[in-house]
Amino acid sequence: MAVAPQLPLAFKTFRITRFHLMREVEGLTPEQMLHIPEGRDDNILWNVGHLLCSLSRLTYVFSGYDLPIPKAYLGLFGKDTTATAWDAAPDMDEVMGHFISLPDKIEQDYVAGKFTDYTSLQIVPGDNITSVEEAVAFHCFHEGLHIGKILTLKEAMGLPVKGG
Amino acid sequence: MKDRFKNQMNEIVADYQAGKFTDFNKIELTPEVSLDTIDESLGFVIIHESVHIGLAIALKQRLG
Repeated sequence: MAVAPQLPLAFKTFRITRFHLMREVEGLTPEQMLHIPEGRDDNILWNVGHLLCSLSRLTYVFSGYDLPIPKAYLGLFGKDTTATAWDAAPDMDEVMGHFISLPDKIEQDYVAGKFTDYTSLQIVPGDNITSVEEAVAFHCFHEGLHIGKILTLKEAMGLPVKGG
Repeated sequence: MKDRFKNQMNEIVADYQAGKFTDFNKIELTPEVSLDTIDESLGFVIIHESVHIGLAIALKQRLG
């Protein structure tokens, strides 16, 4: 898995994380991406959109830049949102397009030296994210957590999972 | 088992700081993905553990 040599370790870990997520969602139909099993309030597309919003905020917004994705996504996939509250299904191709392109954009902007200032963010008492490198490392944990949720959504539909 | 689980991280940190992990046998996860160093391996451990946290959360939700 090639990562530019000037990138820190967290970026390779992120690439590995994304590899595992993508192999679980690639090839799923729109119906499978949108299916909400009984007792759940999320679907696979919500988990993908949620990660897209979170990564955008953790990297760009906390580094002082505008959100690099449509602001409406925060109302669909942001913290405390649910897929059961959607009035209509979001544009899946558009969401997936942003999801797939964002890691490349972050790497390019990192190499270009864009992430110089970072507003410290408290994750748990006593532990803060203080740089974009730490933000990417934290995102790997967050993305892994949602891979787990995606696996259970696939299992609920009787779909085979690749697993860890 | 819980104690071993809780202590394992501290043991790894101590051994890492003591320089015990000098030789690392490359692990090929898939033909496209390999872990080449102990640092990369520890990064992968975080992914793996968080996937299982996600699974545990879903199991807890199923139990109400």
